[in-house]
Amino acid sequence: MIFVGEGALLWRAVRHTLDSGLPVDLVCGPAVDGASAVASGVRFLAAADVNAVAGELAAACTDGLVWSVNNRMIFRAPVLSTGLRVLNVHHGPLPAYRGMPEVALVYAMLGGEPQFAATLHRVDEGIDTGPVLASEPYPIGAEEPYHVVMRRGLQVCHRLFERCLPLVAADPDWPGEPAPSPGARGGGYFGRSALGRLSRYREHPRFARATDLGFLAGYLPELAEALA
Amino acid sequence: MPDIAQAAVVARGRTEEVRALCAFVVLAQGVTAFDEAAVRAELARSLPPHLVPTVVRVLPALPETASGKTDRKALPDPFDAATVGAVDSPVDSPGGSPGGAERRRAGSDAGADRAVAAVTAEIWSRVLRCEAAGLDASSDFHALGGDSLAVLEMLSALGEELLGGSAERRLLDRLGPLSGELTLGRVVAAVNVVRSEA
Repeated sequence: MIFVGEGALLWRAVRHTLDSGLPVDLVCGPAVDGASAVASGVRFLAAADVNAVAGELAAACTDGLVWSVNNRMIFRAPVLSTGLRVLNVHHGPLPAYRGMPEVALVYAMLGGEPQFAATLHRVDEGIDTGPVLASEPYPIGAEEPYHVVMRRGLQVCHRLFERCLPLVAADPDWPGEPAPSPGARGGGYFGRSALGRLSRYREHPRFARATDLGFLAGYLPELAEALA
Repeated sequence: MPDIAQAAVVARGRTEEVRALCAFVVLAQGVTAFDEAAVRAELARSLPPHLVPTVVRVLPALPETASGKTDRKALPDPFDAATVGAVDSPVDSPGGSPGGAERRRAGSDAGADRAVAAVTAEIWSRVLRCEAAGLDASSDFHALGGDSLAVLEMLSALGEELLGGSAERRLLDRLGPLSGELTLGRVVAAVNVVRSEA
């Protein structure tokens, strides 16, 4: 298996895979994550664009599987043409909330969504448009601030990975679970344009709660800057 | 809730006048992570607000009477300050607190600082899954295996259990960079300063 992504969620997934006795052929991500690779004892390939190293990924992969976890790089034709099966752990219910999870969650809370979700889906040419394999919804408390909900969502993402890993390992062509994706009131694609529009909602009654980054402010600099 | 194998709810005195519902749960086999706020949020979807427990605490097992029923009187009191104060602090007096906190505080303030150190160490042990007794002021969060998500969990628990709302920014400012050395003594000192400024 190959892992593409960055940060604590990625490395928790890598460690869990190793602890499960499953192979980690390669981890690909920003150079800053190289130190974590040393600690985990896995081969690391630094890349700013995963598509630029498609050949290396294909050559290293022993089972045809690529996990995308907390990954901001977009898979395109070079990787998607290699025959590798790329699975993405997306923080958000699909197909409703696509794009940057930290932005999508703000809009979900502004819209009064009672729940959000982690979703495992197969990666295709679009952004978060591939077929859904599994999802795990979680509640958004009526009075909870953003940082509490986001922290819960990150934990649910890892839990979803832990649950699906053995299923995918046992059957690389695992078709997924029959359970439907959780419904949502709103949704759409939430990228940098949506990030830039957030300031328009300052008078929204839920704005303070939906943008209370708390301790997350240091980890979400783009969002913090957009809200400043 | 599939993560919870057993649960019991009792009322405990939050203050002399106010009683609050306290839930005690035993996690299902194999479950290691517990999100107290998520449980409360889930309950809030089906219960009126006054029936949602104020606190939810994990126990290894529910105490039982001789006849095998849950012994509700033997369940702990989460609001019992004496219990917290009685916990031996594994953290030496942090000292060296900058600003106004450098002033020596005696009597009850020193006792409160020890309680803060004990609660902080307990939070670390919970997040890092290590023994609180093995921690001291020089213990480093990252060296003990804590990643950025664990830092968030730890800070959030500090905010909920020791600081209250709106203190996050002041604690972050006081702590400085979170990716560098993050010792227990440094965190306890920062918490004490923020509390003294409140």
